[in-house]
Amino acid sequence: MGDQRSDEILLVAIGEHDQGALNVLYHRHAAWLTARLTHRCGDADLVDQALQDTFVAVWRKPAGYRGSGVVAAWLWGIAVRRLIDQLRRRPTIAYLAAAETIVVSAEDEVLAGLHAGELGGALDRLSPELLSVVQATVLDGLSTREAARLLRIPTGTVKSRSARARAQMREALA
Amino acid sequence: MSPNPTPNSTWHIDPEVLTGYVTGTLGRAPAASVEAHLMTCPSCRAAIAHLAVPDRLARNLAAITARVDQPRLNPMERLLERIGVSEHLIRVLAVTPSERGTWLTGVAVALLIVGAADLFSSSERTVFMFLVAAPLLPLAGVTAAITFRHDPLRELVVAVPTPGFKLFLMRSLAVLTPTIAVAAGASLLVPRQGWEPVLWLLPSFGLVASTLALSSWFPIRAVAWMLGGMWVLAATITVRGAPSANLIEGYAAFRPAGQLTLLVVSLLAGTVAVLRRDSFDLVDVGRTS
Repeated sequence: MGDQRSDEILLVAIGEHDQGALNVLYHRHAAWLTARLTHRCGDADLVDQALQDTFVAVWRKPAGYRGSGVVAAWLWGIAVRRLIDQLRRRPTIAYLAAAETIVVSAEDEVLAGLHAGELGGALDRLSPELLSVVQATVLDGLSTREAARLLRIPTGTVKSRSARARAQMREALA
Repeated sequence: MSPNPTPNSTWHIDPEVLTGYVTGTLGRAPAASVEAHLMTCPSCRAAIAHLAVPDRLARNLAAITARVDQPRLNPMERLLERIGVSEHLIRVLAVTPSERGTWLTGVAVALLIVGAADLFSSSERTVFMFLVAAPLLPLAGVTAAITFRHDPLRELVVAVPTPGFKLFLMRSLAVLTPTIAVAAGASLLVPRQGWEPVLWLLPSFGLVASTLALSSWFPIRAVAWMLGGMWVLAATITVRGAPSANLIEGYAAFRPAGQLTLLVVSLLAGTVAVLRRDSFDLVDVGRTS
C-alpha cells in the first residue's frame, strides 16, 4: 500500500472512475469496517454483503461525501445503513447478534473486564432491549427513525427506551 | 485512553485490545472506545487490516470489482433504486424475459388494431371484443413475467434470498404498468361515451389477482389458462343469441353489479395472496414452466 493519496483525494479519483483508487480505499477501510459490522451482526455472509454494498455505493456516488468530517465516519454511515438493509431482508437475523453468539472464554471475560471500567459495567447491566437502543442511537449514530426500523419497534419506544437507558446508566455511574 | 485523542495522535490502541476487538472478545464499553478512536486514527485502522483474514478481504474485493464492472443502471433502474428497491431486485426486474418484448409489442399491435378497427366500425361487437380481450393481456403478461422460462437470470433469481412473493409482486407490477398504460391508450380510441372504454380494467385486476392467489396452490400457467379460458367462455356463452346492439350490457361482468363483484373478487384474491405469501416458491414456479 504505497499509495499516499488522502481518502478525500481518493474519492475525487473515484468520481473520475479510477478503479485503482477504489482498491486503495478498500484496502484502507475494509478490515475495520468488517470488524465493526461484525460487532453489530454475527452473520458473516450478511456482513460481507453489506461491505460489498458499501463500496459499490461509494463507487457510484463518491460525491455523497461532502467534505465535512472524516471519510472513515462517512463510510461507516453508509456501511451501517447497508447492514440495516440486509437485516431487513432477513428478519430472522438480529442486530447485535454478535454479542450473544460469540462464546467468550472465562479468561477473556476477566481480561475484558479489566478494560471495561465502570461505564462497561453500566452498559452491560442494561437489558438487551435498552442496550440495542443505546447501541443503535448513541454508538452507531442512527436517527430515532432508523433505529426504530432496524429494531422493528415504534419510534416512541426507541425514545422511551433510550430515556430509560440513560436514567439507568446515570444511576449505575452515580 | 488519552483524555482527548486528536487525529494522528501519538496514542494508539494496545495490540492486545485490538485483537480482542477483532475477535469479538472485548467488552462493550472498550469496544465502543476502540470504535471512537478508529474514526480518527489511520494507523490503528491499518493495524486492524493486518489482523483481518486476507482471503475474505480478497473475496469481497473481487465481488465489488465484478459489480463495479457491470453496466451502469439505466434511468428507469436508477429511479427504482432511488425509491428504495434493492439492487439485486432491480437486476431481476431489469432482465427482460425474452418473451416480454415480444408480447408487449403484441399487446400494442393487437390493441391498436382493435382500436383502429373500431374507429371505422365502432360497432358494438368490436367494442365488446376489445373489452373481453383486453383483460387477457395483463394476465398473459404477468404470467409470462413470473414464469420467465427463458430468463437468463433464472439461476441467479432462484439463488437470491428474495422472498418469492415479493418477486411475484415486483414482476407483476413491472409488467402491469406498461400493459395497462398501453391498453388504456387503446381504450381512448374507442369512440364510446361514459365508462364503457374502461370496463375491462376491473376484469383485468380480478383475473390477475385471482391468478396470483390460486398460483400459491397450483402452477401459475395452468391457473392463467383456466381463468382466462373461463372469462372468454363465459363471455361467449352469455352473449350467444343476444341482440348484437346490446352485447356489452348482455355480459354480466360489464354491468355495475358485475363490476362491483369483480372489485370484491380482486380485493379478496389480493388478500388471499398476501396471506399465503409464504407459499410462493419461485423455484417451483420455474420448474413448472
